[in-house]
Amino acid sequence: MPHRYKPNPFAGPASHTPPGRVVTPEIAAFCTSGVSIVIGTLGPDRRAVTGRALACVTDGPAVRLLFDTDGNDALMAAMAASAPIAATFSEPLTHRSLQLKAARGESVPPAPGDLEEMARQSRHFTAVLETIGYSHAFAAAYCRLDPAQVRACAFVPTAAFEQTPGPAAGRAL
Amino acid sequence: MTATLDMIRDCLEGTVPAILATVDEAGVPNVSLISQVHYVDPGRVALSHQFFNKTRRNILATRSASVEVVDPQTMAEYRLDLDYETTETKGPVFESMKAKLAGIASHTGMQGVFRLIGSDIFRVRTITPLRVARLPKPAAGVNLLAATRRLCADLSGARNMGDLFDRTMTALAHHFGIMNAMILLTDEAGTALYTVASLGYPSAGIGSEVALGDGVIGVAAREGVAVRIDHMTADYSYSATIRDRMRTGGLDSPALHEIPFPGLDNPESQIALPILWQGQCLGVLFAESLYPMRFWHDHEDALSIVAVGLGSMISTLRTEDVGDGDDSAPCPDSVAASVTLRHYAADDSIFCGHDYLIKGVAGAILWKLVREHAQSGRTEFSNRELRLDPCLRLPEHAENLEARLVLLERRLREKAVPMRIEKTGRGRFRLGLGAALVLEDA
Repeated sequence: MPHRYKPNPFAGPASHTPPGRVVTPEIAAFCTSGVSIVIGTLGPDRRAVTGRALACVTDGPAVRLLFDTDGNDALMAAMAASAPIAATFSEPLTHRSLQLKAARGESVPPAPGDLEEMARQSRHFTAVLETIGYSHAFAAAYCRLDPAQVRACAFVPTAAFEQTPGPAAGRAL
Repeated sequence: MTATLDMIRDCLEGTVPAILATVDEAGVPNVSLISQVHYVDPGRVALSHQFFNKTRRNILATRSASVEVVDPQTMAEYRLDLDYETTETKGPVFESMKAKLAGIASHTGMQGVFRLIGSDIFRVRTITPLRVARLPKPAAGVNLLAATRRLCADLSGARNMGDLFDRTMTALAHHFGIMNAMILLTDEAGTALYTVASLGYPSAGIGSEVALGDGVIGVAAREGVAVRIDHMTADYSYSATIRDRMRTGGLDSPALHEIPFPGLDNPESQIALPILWQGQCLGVLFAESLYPMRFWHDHEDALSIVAVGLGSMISTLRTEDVGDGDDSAPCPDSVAASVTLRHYAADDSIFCGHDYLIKGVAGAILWKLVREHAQSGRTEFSNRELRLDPCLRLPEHAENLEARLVLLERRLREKAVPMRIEKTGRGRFRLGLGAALVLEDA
């Protein structure tokens, strides 16, 4: 399954982003397009905690990451403690990636329309996984989610970073 | 049941990217996808250090990380809480990861981007099951433990080194379902390996050579470590390079002195296991496949046991040949009344007519045999006289003599020249001739 490495479309001159202006229309479009979403946060022992989300919804400067409560106990505990949060969004076909960070996140129930949006993004991501060679059974299982188990990490990003693998990874957007 | 690293090794095959989260000294998290979580031992893993980025700085600052991995077959998911120990920039773990990363990069179009700077070694503090299996684990086609037992039983009956190699190839096909494999032995100088047995190739390639450090075979031999690539990469493919040299070589080109490497043109999976004995690498057991993800951790374990058995048997048979006669094909009648053998002293290469036959130690042995025959009519020889012959310049212990005789016997058979090496008993053999020889020293 050949893939092509392409420059990150978000890459531009590094600059300080005013608070509340991190989620540009381009970033919002990418993050909600049905991509891989992984989460890092801080546990009570001040060690890192991983998490995985299945969809992203943006609302002005705010972001909600929809995740399965099954398997994300540590993530929910961290959000209950308003821990800092980082989320990386990656497009498997091109490896285009960016990371959003915020000083605090919280666990909230999904808003109206979130589940429908999650279903749309999951369908797209399932198709992408199949395109890059994963079996339909694997892709479907990876993206399967019981709507009754959905929660959301809500945060307002204060910084965005280029994350596409390569020398520019880590540059502020 | 508490999950152990050995129980979740399938998660570390690199099939599904893992999630790596770190924090800095202020507690600010960073998260990324990583392509490789390498199994080091039951208590440790290694992560690839490819860039000096935020993740790297956090690891050095807090000496901790959290990794989430997925079983590619069942979708069971686990979190590994890790403590950083050290970074290795050479040696077995580094070379094994470098080879595998090159395969992953090739597979995902990231050649030139993924480059291993170091192997970050972590101790696994805890393994937390996150999600149970969502898919049934596919039934294994081969019970690898039973297959290993049967193969080792087959090897135990080998009467001589040639028989041992043949039994290994047959047993790999029969018990493991492996379609393409080779055994290569390390040469006297320890700078190259030469093929003594192969399975499943149009040309057997007996005598073909691989330089130490070249491709998965050469790296396995140099580092004494198993090397496994699940998605093949041009970085570790030498067969095409060797073939290209053969095609473009002129009549006097050194390439004419090379026997083509018999490997698959487009393998997707390769595994090379060093054949170790008392700290010395005697050679490499190699297998490959047209299919990706053909060899997993359990295959590596099983074939490593086979390689250990091979090392023990080779060590025994190279000094205690228990052969009681030859089972090779009789010498064919030549279509010509005579054939011309030409010897080049520079590298002891021998040509039969215009066809390259053999070189090096095996070439020197053949040249001695045919000259003795021309001078005295002798056809019966012993290993002992070869060991003692100063013209052959064999190393003091000449531990590879038996292997060189196997190589010579097989090369003569493969080239269908009217000459055969036929074992006649313990440490003795016969030169069989099907045509008169004309000898020329070039």
